[in-house]
Amino acid sequence: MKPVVAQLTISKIECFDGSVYRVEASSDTALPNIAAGQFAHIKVPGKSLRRPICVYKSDEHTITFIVADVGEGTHAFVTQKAGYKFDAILPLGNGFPILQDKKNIVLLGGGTGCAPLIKIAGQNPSLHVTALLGFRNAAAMGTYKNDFDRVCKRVLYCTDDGSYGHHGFPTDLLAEVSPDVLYVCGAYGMMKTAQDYCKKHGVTGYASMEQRMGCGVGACLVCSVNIMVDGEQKLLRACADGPVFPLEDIVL
Amino acid sequence: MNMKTTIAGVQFKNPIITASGTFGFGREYNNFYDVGLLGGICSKGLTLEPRQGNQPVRIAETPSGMLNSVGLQNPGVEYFIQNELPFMKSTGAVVIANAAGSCEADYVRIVQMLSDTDVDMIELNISCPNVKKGGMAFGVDPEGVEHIVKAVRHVCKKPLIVKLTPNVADISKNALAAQNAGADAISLINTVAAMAVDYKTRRPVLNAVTGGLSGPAVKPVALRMVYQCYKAVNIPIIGMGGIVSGTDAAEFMLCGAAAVQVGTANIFEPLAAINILNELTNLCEHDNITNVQSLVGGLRVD
Repeated sequence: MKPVVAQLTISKIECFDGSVYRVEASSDTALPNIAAGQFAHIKVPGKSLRRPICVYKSDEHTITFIVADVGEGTHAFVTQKAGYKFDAILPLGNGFPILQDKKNIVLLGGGTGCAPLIKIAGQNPSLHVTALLGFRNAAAMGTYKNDFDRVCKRVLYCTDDGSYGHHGFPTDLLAEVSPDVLYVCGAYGMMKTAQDYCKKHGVTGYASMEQRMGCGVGACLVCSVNIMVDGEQKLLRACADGPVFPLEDIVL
Repeated sequence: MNMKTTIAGVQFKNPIITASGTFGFGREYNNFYDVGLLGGICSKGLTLEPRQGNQPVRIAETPSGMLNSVGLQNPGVEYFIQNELPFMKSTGAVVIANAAGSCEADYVRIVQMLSDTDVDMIELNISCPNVKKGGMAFGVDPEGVEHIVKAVRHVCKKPLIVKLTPNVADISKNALAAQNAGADAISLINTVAAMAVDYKTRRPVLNAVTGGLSGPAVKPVALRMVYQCYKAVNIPIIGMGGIVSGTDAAEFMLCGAAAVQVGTANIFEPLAAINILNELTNLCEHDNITNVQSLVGGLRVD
């Protein structure tokens, strides 16, 4: 699927915990299909460089992003109101490979990192998907409403402060759910623990990586991540070679 | 409307060229528009051996611009000739290969190899600020420029463009040195050595600490330098530095650029180069400029 420059209009913007926003936008023209883990390169107010944001949900005329207010660019974007028009290059990058023959699929997400995972379950209703989702607190969970419960067979929530679900990290529950394949997006510590788990138990894993990005389309070579390729450490492009890589190959 | 431009005997259908390092080998942007509509496309900086470049973080946004510290990541000249050059040639745009080295022997060898291909022109990168031996050693003083340009001129069978760094005392002296050593054209400016600091972490934003500043922030510096070089040399100048509009391109031409390169704008906006070409064409139409080359050096200073 060749990327397009889509003209979008914010239809709804909600914040549940003061720093993570759920931004719904609409497009007059039909949007292309967007696979789980692919991203959009979004023009934000007052900035020249775009901001890469994963696509949480999308259909022909609507698209939803989960955006953390982490810097000047994202702040300028999430403080816009319904009706704000912006453009986004999409879909970009390689998403999560879907392995239809695997029985027990587990999504492992932390905070904003839960967002790129939901399409894995949403687009593949025949898969048996369990989600292990971690948040700072119960308020942050609200960003995702009950979306994961609707598309996954089972969802285990975890909070750092114990305000909801398991008091601790979602990686604590890996042994309990015993995945055949693991899809990860979250903080460094979560990815590292997940990588160790997969190596130890011979589990196939994929993770979505993040890096400061330039063009977003593979040309400028600034969004490098360290990945093992045939036993050699290489600097690959998060935008075009990723953002999803085999978990075992990621140098953490 | 005549948008044609000739540089060192090579005819461009228009004066818009993409700048090295911002356009890959043209494939990515060809997904958005026919890059063959552009006057020329320039390859990523090529070295004799493949290079991995610097560790990330490699980019920082700064007011009206950005820093990069890629460090000449590229697949090597041999891979380029086998796998990327045929695609670039197939677009129909003039193909410029950007050659970088870390020592004289490397520059000579890479130019020899490129001379035996069907690249249309070679741009000598003696101005990369992001590699310890990225050619800057040759690019900073006129003697260094003259030395390296002479060395490659002996083996170069293609029109030779020398890309100059702005991180020097007097760029017009380096331009003159390039001309005296046999350059067919010069291009300027490469990025301005710069850095960004994160106060909260008390660390530089770039892993390499320093990088190269580009984008509209450097445009006034670039215009001044193109103007100074135009007064100093009689070989054609390819101007660049923060061009994001057709008007920007026309301003560079007024200062003496026969053609321009569009770089950072491609990173901001995938359609930038083709939009700039259309804007320049419309500008000429609107202002009854029948030949775009009539802009070159047309700055009124009195």
